[in-house]
Order: sequence, then C-alpha cells, then structure tokens
Amino acid sequence: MKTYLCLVCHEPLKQPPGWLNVFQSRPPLLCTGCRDLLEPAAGERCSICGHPDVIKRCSDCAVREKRNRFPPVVHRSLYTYNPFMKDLISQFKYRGDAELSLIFADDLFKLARREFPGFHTAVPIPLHPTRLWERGFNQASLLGQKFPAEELLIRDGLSTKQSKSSGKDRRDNAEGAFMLKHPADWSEKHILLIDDIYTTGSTIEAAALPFWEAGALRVSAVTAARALKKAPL
Amino acid sequence: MEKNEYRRKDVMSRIQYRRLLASEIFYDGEEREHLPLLEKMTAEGLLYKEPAIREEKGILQCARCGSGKPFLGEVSNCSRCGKKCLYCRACLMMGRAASCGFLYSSAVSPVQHPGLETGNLGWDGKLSAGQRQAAEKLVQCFRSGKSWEFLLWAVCGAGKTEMLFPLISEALKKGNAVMLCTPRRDVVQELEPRLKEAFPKAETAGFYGGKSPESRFCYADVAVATTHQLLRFYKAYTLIIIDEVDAFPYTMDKKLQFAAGQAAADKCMTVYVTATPSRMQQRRAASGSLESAVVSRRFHGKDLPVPRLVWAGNWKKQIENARLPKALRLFLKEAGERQVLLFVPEVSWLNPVQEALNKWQGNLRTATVHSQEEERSERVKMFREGSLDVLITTTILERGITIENVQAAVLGAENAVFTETALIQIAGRAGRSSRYPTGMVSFFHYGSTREMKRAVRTIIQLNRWNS
Ligand SMILES: [Zn+2]
Ligand SMILES: [Zn+2]
Ligand SMILES: [Zn+2]
Ligand SMILES: [Zn+2]
Repeated sequence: MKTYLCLVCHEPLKQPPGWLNVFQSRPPLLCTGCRDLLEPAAGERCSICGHPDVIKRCSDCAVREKRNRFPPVVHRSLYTYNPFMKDLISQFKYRGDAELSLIFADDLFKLARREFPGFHTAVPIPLHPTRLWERGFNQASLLGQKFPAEELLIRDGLSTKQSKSSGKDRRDNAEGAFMLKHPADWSEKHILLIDDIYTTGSTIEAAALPFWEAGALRVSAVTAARALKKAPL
Repeated sequence: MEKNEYRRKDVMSRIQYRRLLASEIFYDGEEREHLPLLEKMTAEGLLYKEPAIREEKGILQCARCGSGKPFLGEVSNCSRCGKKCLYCRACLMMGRAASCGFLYSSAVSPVQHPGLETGNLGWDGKLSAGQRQAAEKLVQCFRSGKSWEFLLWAVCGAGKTEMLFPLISEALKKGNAVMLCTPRRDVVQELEPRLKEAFPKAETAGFYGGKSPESRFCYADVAVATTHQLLRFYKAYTLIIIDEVDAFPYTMDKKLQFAAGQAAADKCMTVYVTATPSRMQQRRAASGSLESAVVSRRFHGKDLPVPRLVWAGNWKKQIENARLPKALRLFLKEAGERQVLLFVPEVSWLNPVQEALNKWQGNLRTATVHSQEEERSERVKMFREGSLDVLITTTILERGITIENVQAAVLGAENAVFTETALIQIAGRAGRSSRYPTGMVSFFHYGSTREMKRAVRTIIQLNRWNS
C-alpha cells in the first residue's frame, strides 16, 4: 500500500483500515495531530471583520465605519493565527512552500460560497513585483486556486505617491496602493478579495478602494488566517 | 566597480568548500541584482553552475539533497520562469532549490586552508591501549592518501572523540580541512567546543540550523555539521568523519551518508564511527573490503553488560489489567535503590505501564517520556538528579541520558522497533561510568526474536575481543 505523508510534519499518515472509501476520493493532507492544531475561526464574532469573541461589532470596525468614505469590507477567515498557523504561514510564504496552499484552497472556496454567496469575481491581493520575484509565487493567488479568480489588481510599491486619496485614507496605505490593471466599471458588482492573513485590515481596505471607486456594490474578503488583537473589543 | 570587487571576494569566500543557491550566497538580499555577477564569474571560470532540480534517467530529483517525487512541490506558474516549476520541500529550510534556480560551486581551489600550526594538539590526556591502536591505524590509512572508507567500531563509552584526535591533527598538518558530521544538533554543540579545546590553533565551527548567516557561511579548519548543514558542503573534504555513536535513534542515516558523499573530495577518507555497525558493514569489515578498527573495551576497561532475555508472557494483557509481569517485578526488586530506564515499544504503552508500576508499589517515583512530550527535558533532568526511580520511555530518547549506575529494561522486546542496533544502544546505557562499570540489562519478551539474540551475541563477541 502507498504511504501518504502529512504535508506539514512529513510523518506517514496512520489511518484506520478502509479509510479511503467512496466518500473520500483522496487521502487527507494532514495527520490528525497537525489537523488538531488548526483552530477554526468560528463562533461569535464581529459582523464586519470577523474578529472572534465579539458581539455585533468590534471597536476598530466602529471607528473605521465613521471614518471611511465607503462601506466596510466584510471579512471571514478559516483559522485563527495561533502559533501553529504562524509557522505554517511563514513556511508557506517566506520559505516558499507553495504546496501548503492545498491545506486551505478548498475550504477557502467553501467559506466564500457560504458567507458571500453570489460574489461576481474573486481577486487575489497582489504582491509588489520585487516580492513576487523573490517568492516565486503570490501566496494569495495560490490560496485562490479553487476559485474562478482573476488577477485584476496591481500593487504600487511607492506608498508615498498617494496624492489622490484623502488624508484619512492615506494612513491605510502603508501597505502600498492598489490599482486596477484595466479601468472598468464595477457598478452593482460584488467583489471578493483573497489574502493569506488578516491583521489590521489595512491591506484589504486598500485593495478594496479601486473597486469602490469604480462603483462596486459590495467588497468582501476571505483569508486563511485571522490575527487576534491583543486587547480585543 | 569597487563594490563589485568586494562582492567577488565575498562570493569566493562563501562558496569555498560549498555549493550554494544564489539566495544563500547573497543571504543579505539583493539576490536578483547580483545574478549577473554570478553569470560573469561562471563565464570567467571561477564558478560552476548546475540546475538545482535535475532529471536523471527520467527521474526528477533535487540536486542538493537527492530527494525525489513525494518531496518535490510544484508551482504551476512560477513568477521567476513563468513555467511549471518544481521545488524541493525536503531541504527547503536551507533555501529554496527550484527548477529554474541553480547551485553554484567553486571551480578553483579554496581561498583558505588550515595553517601549519592548526594541527597542534592541545590535549594531553592518555589513550588506552585499545584507543591507541585504533588511532594509529586511522592515521596510517590517511597517510596512504588513497580513497578509504573506514569503520571505527567503538562501543558506547569507549572514548571515541579522543581516538580521533591524532587523525584530525594529521589532516590539519597536511593542510586539509576536516569535516565531522552527526545527525544530531546537540551532538554538534557538544563536540565543537571539545575540538576547539583540543586544537587551540585551529578555527573550529559548528554548523546547525538557526545560526546567523555570517556564521552559517564562515570558514573552518575543523567543521562540525548536522546532516542538513552538511548538504551545503560540496566536493571539498579529504577527511570526513561520520559520528553515529550517540546518534541513536538515527543510526545508518541514509541522508547523512548521501550528504557526506557530496561533501567528499574525489580522494577522501570517510570514517564511520559507530557503536552498532550494520550487518553489511560488519561483513565488509570481516572480508577486508572495509578498513576497520574495533574498540570493544569501554574506557574504564570493564565488560559491556550482557542483556538477559526474559520471558514475560502476555505482558500486554497483564499491563491492560494494571499488573506488572512477574519477571519485571523481580528485576525491579533486584535493582533495589538503583534507577531504572524502562523502554516500551509504543507511546500508547507509557501510561498503562506507569499505572501498573504505581499500583504495584505506590511509593515508586515514576515518569514517562517520548519524543513529543513537552515536559521531556524537565523529566529527564529530574531522572538525572535522582528524584525519579523509574523513567518509562519509547526508543526515542535523549542521548544525554548517560546516567551513572542506571539499569535498563525493555518491555515487549519482541516488537519490531527493537532492532539489534536499538537493543545494543539500550544495553549501552547501563554501566557507562567507571564508578559503576556494571549494570543490569534485561529484555522482557513474549517470544524472543532474532534481533534480540543477535544483540546478545554481538555484545558477547565484543567482550571476548581484547580480553
Ligand atoms: Zn502532521
Ligand atoms: Zn470588527
Ligand atoms: Zn532538496
Ligand atoms: Zn521557476
């Protein structure tokens, strides 16, 4: 019998006999030990950014809503950014272990369809060209491999060149500014952004901006990992 | 221009003795902007370059670590080459070897060599007769200048490091840098300072994961490296010593031997230091196709404890009923005040065995350890300090478990994890110090195996030699 290795710890998968049946067309990617270390970001959470253990709306989202010209980007994550997830993401993105995207790709698509049914297009958050060359791939694009995703954005590395955006928006642009690759009318459309990790939400907000400006009706986002605020609420 | 000259020097100093990815040579970033420099140096004949993932006879493999299919990951649209691109997951922690990347090595001789005085020995201890014989044979072999493979069969506690000093000294005096490698990082960390002390005029360095980049690519007259770090060295050494004495449970590590083969110069003496040579090595040594020396005496000169094979009946059933097999109870009584290391075949037996022990004698201080145990080092420390009577463990155990006057027992010795090698290593835990040179070792079983009998036979044979 062929032995399968856990994608993370490389240990052979131990399975009860007959585990590969009609319901499971392929072996699991992770051993149960590694699988158990993933913490689903489920339960009570902020209705906007998805921060766990928040009733209705977190303080950050409340502030952001008052400040921004556009509606908030509603966001959901698969897992919390715990120490295991931290190692996983850094192995994936900084060491360049592209295969690890498989752990999240299917579930991310399912999450998007469940939480944001009817989105018109999925857009991975792009990298700066230099970063992209260094890494060999864009982690967000790999996470979006199961989506009918489109690379509609380009990322501008020069975060100071933000003459067009207002002062309030500018501070959100430390992550760099995003532009549409091709000018287009997105009115009445629902855009779904894909990224690896949600920390403060500033990247997602910056990437949503060109879509809002092109008339989008809704912008939502899904990520693999959700960083938790030190002092939540 | 000036900056480039400086860069060239850097490249040549980092790449000597090694084969590296561009991202390793320029670990401080700026890999992309320096690729033209590497191209130029290759064209000038200073460097060789080869694809990092190669195809040999239709089989794709990593050129650095030799890993094949299940370990090759794939990116369907690589942002460097724009194509389907493979990368090696097995050696990823050393930098990403990808289809569109290259490994660079030096095409000229190394910039640095050991100086004349580096071989001066700062160690003034004395070798035992057995050690001296082995040491002399090693030196002679090296002097002959041929390609040698040498088996140094040294029992646990024979004092193998000291035995190697004359050989290392000889190599250094001839201007040859020396590589010692071992699968375990803690062994590297322990060996390096001892070598530093023995060769005060030489530059020594330990290479293991997690060191700063500057020290990762530095030069050393005497290098000590883990398996992974050894993968960075290429066709450079005329003397490589593979230390597997305390490598347990990583004996006969294929990866380590692959890496050592890569690091060897065309003419190289490779010394395997082991307490448990494979059957193959033993056969080759006996037939003379592998040069060898056996040091069957421990440094203190006493016999290795010979394990007893003891029938324990259906021990699984007894343990499940929280009862200790009678034979094991007798062993523990005989051990009396002395501490006992109790090996079990699988993690799942740790707790049931502990329960049975506690039920038998409530005042017995016991603990369990296995590889994933978070409190492992804490518990081993407690055992070492004598605040535990019995430590129950799986075969994966800290090598640091050299404890004075410890007795060893295996429950379920018929299990396949207890190979001859593993059993000899376990027996070697007992009676290591000269204060307590003897010890009890028992293998409790439910049907003896060939491996158990071989382990006993080998130990008896080792005791007979030199006596
Ligand atoms: Zn695993
Ligand atoms: Zn929120
Ligand atoms: Zn490799
Ligand atoms: Zn490529």
